[in-house]
Amino acid sequence: MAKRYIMTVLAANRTGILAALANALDELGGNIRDVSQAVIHKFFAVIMAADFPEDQDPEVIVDHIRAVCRPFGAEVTLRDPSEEMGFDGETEPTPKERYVLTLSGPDRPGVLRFLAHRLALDGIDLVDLQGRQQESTQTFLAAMELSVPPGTDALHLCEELRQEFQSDGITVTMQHRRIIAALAHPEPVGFNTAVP
Amino acid sequence: MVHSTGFFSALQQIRQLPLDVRTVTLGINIADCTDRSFHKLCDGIYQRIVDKAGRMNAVCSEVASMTGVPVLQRRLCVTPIDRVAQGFNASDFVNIAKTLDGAAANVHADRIGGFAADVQHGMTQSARQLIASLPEALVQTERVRAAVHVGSTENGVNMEAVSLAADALLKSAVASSHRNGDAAAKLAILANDSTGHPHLTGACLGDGWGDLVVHVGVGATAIIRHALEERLLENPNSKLDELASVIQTAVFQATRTAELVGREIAEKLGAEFGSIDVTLAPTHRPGDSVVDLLPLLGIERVGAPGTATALTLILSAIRAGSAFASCSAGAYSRIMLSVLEDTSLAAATQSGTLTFDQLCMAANAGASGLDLICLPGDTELSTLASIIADQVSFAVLNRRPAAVRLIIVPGKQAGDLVSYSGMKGSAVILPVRGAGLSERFIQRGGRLPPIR
Repeated sequence: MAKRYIMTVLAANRTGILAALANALDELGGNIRDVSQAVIHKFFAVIMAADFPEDQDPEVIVDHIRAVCRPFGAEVTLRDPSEEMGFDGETEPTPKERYVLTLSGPDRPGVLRFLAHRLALDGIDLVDLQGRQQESTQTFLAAMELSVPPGTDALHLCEELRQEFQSDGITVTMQHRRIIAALAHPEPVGFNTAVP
Repeated sequence: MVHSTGFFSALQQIRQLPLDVRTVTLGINIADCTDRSFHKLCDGIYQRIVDKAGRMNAVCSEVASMTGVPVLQRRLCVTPIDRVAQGFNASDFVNIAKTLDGAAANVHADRIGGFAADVQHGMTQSARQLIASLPEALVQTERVRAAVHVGSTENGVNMEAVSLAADALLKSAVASSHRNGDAAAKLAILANDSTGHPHLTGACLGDGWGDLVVHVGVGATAIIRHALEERLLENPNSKLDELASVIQTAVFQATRTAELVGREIAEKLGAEFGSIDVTLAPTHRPGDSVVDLLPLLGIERVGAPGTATALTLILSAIRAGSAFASCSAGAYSRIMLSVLEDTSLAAATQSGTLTFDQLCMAANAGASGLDLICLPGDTELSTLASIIADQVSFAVLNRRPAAVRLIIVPGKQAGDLVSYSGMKGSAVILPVRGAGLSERFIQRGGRLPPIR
């Protein structure tokens, strides 16, 4: 039997970090189930779900990865999902609509704070977020993917956010994932083909 | 700065496009509601519409909020009434129109089409009665849109029907003279509509469709303008074919969105998905008119030489873009120069830069027919019938559908300004040159033979 852990690794981004990490996992008998990686300002971060043999001690896993990835100064955290309570995603099996929200404009303090509070109010889950400041123009661009409970009025929400940020000169766009897919790919749309 | 994901750069491409669905039309088959008893017939029609379309408004709103794409107008269309109601007289037809109006109001539809007669060969008694009932039916109802199909390329044109329809148009205008003849605007005279073009004004549920079908119409003007403006910022010297590609891409996006929204609505209503109409029809929003695209292409004023070429370019790009976007699109694309509903066009006619003759010419190049044009109150029957006949023969010769909607404004002269609260528009009455000189031609009656 395998046991699943959630693990994050933060390290300096140098060639070979992923190879070292994969090596360590291999030696521990680990198997990656889900993974997402990002590099920001020369730092490498990865979050993954991985299965390990049930008898493998979590401390051994962390120590071994730390040792193998020592040249990169890796910080490793390991969590056992079965010990965590109250996940949004797993306690609510209702299907949700996915939207992509983008904000662009001058870099103002408090924008993300307002947005996150507003989304939380409607029970909207922010499942992906990326953003960056364009130093040449001093503008900020953020794109995020939202998982929205059924029955939420997207038209209304988008209009509300637009009104809110208008005075700051920030442009808000919000589009359904399926519309983005329909505009980007010339495959048939609307035939109940599943868009992830 | 190096960023790690392509996802992000892909997202940077996302811009908020001015997308909307202009019309959702639910086609309902009522052919089996036919009955000898008048009350049973009306009851059957009313019940069928309320049963099938009861959820339409809610479903449209639900899908609009889910996809973030507004649905501007919700319409119904039914099997042509001249076939469903056989053997009734004109006053019965007025009551059928009221039944349709009531049912449409019950389900909160903006319009209902299908109060129509097909008279391209000859006229059944019921078609004749329906046409006779038009003035009263249109004045006494709000949502009903009527149509008379007078000719087609295969069958020629029934000139007697043209005269009768023109007569109905005049009488409708007179009967609603207290509202500047607005009832006339609800009657469309159609050509080449043998299969029941679902997107023409006053359209009915044509042959060959199922019991319940959802058609969608896209308003592509805003998105095309947006795309052209962006391209011209990048390259002010763009060649025409480059601009045509820009229009194609914009129309592709509009069509894709419409199909997604339409199929979602159809599925929720348990209906088939029908067709997509990408038509450059105006809305009341400023800048949302095909006239506003012309300056971007380089024609400073609508009606100037080159207008017809520019319209042709736009139309061909629309057809190409929509045909690639969806198998259900492309066949019906048109440009509608609806003067009364189009603030830019209305302004052009008011300033005198756009004349009735130029509108007739545009109708021959890209635009289909004459739409919502106000004519003087003293226009004779023969002149009106001849104007309609001209448009019908253009359509027949060019093998494309056309619709003519004209408003004769009782008691007003050419140059007078009229406004309509119902249509939220105002326009100047256009003079017709050579009025009254075709009387003998119309009096002859008979038929225009089919085009071989």
